[in-house]
Amino acid sequence: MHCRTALEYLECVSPPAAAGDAPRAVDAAEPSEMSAARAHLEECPRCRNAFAAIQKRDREIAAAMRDVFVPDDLRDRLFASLSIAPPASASDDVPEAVVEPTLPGESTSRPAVAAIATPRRRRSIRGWAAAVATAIALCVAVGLWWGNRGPETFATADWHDEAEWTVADIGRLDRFDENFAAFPPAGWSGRIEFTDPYGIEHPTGSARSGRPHLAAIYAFRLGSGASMVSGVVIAIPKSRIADPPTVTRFDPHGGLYPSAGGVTVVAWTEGDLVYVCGVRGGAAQPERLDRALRFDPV
Amino acid sequence: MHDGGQPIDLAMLVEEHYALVYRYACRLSGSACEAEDLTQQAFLTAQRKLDQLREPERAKGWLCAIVRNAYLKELRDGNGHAAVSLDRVAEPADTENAPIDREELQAALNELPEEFRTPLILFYFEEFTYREIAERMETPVGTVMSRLARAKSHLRERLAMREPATAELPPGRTESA
Repeated sequence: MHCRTALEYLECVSPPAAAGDAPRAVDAAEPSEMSAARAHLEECPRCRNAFAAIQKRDREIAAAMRDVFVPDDLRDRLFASLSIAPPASASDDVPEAVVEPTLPGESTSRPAVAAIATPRRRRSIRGWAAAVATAIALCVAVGLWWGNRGPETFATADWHDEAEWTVADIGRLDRFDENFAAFPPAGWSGRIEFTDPYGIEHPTGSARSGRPHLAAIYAFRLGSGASMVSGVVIAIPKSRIADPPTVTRFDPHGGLYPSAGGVTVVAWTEGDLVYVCGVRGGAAQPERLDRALRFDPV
Repeated sequence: MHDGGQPIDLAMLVEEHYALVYRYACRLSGSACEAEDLTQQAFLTAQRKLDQLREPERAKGWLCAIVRNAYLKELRDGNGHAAVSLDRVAEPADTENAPIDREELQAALNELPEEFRTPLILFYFEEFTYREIAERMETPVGTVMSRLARAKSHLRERLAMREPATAELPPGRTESA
């Protein structure tokens, strides 16, 4: 193996945590290539010295890289911004309380909450009866409202973030439960490679609670290598979209939304479904996809 | 909810990873102030998407991916760094090295295009393998190798404070910076 090639492969070895530690081999190179590089090292003193120097410098850089001061109050401010309490183990002796947000520079040390024993008033039987009656009436009212309300609808824009997000993480979703008829956009099948559909209950991606899926999501791929176009297409029942797009086909000009997170989003309505498509890359990628759908060369 | 059936606790997620997330954001953005914003954004996004994290052992990579997405958005909003070209890279740097100045390290990182800076930070944090970096960046492992080799070379050269002795990349491993 050539000196330069050997050193390139050996760059795949992450720096040891400290002098004397064995370097940690990582999984970039094939084992055979790594073995050949190591064998070269055995027989080439120049590369051996160069590699030792690289390892030493990597160790120093790694230490410097991790040497970042973390503000003392960052943790508390994060918990405050998330409106959650720190884990129980970290606050065993602290009474459970809502964490109040603090401003930068403001002291985050909160005064201890005194356990004030407030005298409890005895509620009379009449009082209990009134409270129970009120609660029942409230439940009935809420039940009637709940039963009469229509299905929740969302804006098309609510799905942009999901399209962007799902491009990277579709594998984390459940398989689509097929509670409504979903299929890839017309004309896409046969030309474009699809996964089986995944399902999601809500455009924020939250609440995996067993509710029926609101949308079916397909990951797709066209071509390979540098010319590959890929992304996800989300199919949502039109009845669940408050503002279905007026565009009726994949149109990189008519239904384009600003690119975010490396994903360009195109939305359109086809029959009873609204499609929100996230295409990896800039605005040129939807153009390529469009050309492919028109049977032009990609 | 992850495969084990137990919901992942957001508070534990913050407790265990906030320092790493902040450090990563700090190195990525080059600004403590921006790093705080990115860290906060990351955990707010994590809160909304928590059910998508099924394997707690992947939390670190998941959070770093969120940070990177948030940072890329910032870049597109016009807060990007001026990056140097890595079309030509240095030979392995001189082995006699000066101690590393933290500010100089950050300045050298800031010069790198994001697609080179991210794998470099992840590599030196020793938290991620090449495959994990490739997965998180949605980039082939070979590309990660190539970018890392060039970025490491740039960093060593920059920190060695010597004039680059440039050389063409080997055939088949070139890519635009």
